[in-house]
Amino acid sequence: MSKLTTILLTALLTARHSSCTTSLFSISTYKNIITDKRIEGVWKTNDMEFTIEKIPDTILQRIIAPRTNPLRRIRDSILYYQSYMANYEKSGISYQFNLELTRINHNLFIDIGPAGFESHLDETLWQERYGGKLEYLPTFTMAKVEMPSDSVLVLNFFNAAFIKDRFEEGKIRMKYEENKMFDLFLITASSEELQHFIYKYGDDHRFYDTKTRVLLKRIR
Amino acid sequence: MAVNKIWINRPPMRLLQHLSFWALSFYAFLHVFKTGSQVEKIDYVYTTLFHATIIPAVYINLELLLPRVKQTHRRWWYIPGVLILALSFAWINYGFFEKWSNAVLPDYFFISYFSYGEVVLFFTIYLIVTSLLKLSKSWFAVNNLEKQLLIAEKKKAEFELKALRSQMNPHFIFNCMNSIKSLIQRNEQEKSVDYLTTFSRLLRTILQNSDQKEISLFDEVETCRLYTQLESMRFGNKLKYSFVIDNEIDLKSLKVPALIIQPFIENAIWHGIMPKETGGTVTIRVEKRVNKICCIIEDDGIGREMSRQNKFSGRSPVHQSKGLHLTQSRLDLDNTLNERSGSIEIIDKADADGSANGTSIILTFNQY
Repeated sequence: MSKLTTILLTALLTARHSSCTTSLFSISTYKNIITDKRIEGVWKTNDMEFTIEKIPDTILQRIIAPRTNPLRRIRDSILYYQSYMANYEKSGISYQFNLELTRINHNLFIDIGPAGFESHLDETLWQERYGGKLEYLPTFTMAKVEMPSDSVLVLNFFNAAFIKDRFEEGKIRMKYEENKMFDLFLITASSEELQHFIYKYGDDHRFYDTKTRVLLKRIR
Repeated sequence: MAVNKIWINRPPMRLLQHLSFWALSFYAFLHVFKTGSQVEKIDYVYTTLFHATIIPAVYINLELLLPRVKQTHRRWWYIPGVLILALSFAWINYGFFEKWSNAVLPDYFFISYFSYGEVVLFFTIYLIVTSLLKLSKSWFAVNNLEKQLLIAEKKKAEFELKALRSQMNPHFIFNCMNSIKSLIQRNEQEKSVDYLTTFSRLLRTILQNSDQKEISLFDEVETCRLYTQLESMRFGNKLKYSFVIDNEIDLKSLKVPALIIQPFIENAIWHGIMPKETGGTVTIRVEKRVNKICCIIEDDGIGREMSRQNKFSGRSPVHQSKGLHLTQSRLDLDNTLNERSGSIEIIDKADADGSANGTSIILTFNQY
């Protein structure tokens, strides 16, 4: 299984991954969410294909907010209108992720949050595999986005070990929760605080984990 | 007079108070600011830095602004001064955590967890609370000074009282010595020996009492008895005296200022009876009236009016009594010091046809 699949799956199913930094709140807010057309398209890493499209163009959006639905016009839906949906299929299950982009200090960052499952499996097998895990609280996995060319998308995930060390050294004052027994670590600071945090460390190479670095190539 | 600082205002104690206040403040902040369930190293750093901006603001207020409240023409500056101080240091606090901490402490990450308005409010409240603490301390200090002033006044009154007593003794002795001199001049040897014996007993009593602020009424009456006896011995049949004491009164338990009655007996003899050719009687009565003890010195002499006329016409005896004035002063002081509510009442007696018939002095003391 590819690195990205592992990261995304664990983010989706357990909301945490020991090598990634997850947060209860996203970096993006109504005030700073942006769009970037360059990330739209179909991307491939190893044997996995990802389709990234803006939420208003997705089937999900058409279901929850058809054009006649006043929900489309309310301000609270702005996150949906500025957000992207990533979709990939594996073993009969279609996984959907919500993607939000933010620019901080000339760097582009992305929040990846679980959006849902769509199963083509029979009901019994579906319940056995994932039924009990659907009630987990969704969290966000954060990464810096680099696009060296129009056909290459690089995701630099935050280095959980570096961040945890800073916490343990008493150098960072942010809210977080930690469960050492299961090696789980979740930042619970507000979005504004996260933005400050990323502003400070965004250009620090130690802040990114090279082992989890993911390179996607555009197919379409 | 040097004012003693109470222990709570002495420099080491003041330092301890300030340290305690900041320690308490640090502890409270630490637990308010902590991000997790337990206090961590970063919480200590954050709380220390937060205090680094509060402490200067507090001491600028306490040392520079607050003392100006005492100056009437600068008083109105205080409130705007505190506001400017709060705004400035809140700006420093906010700016430090929001921006400058990245440059000053690149290894650390923290932001201002309050808005600028909240920080201003917070600083203002802190300045007000510390000002109130300082003012309450000053209030206690003023109270203490007032107490010390009262004690000083009391001591002063005691010194005055002692001075009055020492002023009275030579005056009294001078009168007695005059009496003895007269007896010797008249060659009344036996009488002069008796007189000297009584006088020495009296002197011993007076010496014993001179350092006492108060003595028992029993001792006072005994002193008066010796004195009257001396005067009676001197003047023979011209002076009669009697002491009438209520047996129900426990004279030994009642305290009175030393030598408070004697000057009135002296006055009665010298100014009431002596100018009267036929002589007279002085009666000393001690009796109980409700909750008060009355010492009555009564004579059947010429009365105060005649005595005053004699004084102006030069027919008065050489003797110049300071007794009444001194006794009144002593009673006033005694009332101040001991809340005994002693009083003097003077009654000019008159017979049926309105002629002066002596004087009654009533000294009243509360019985406790």
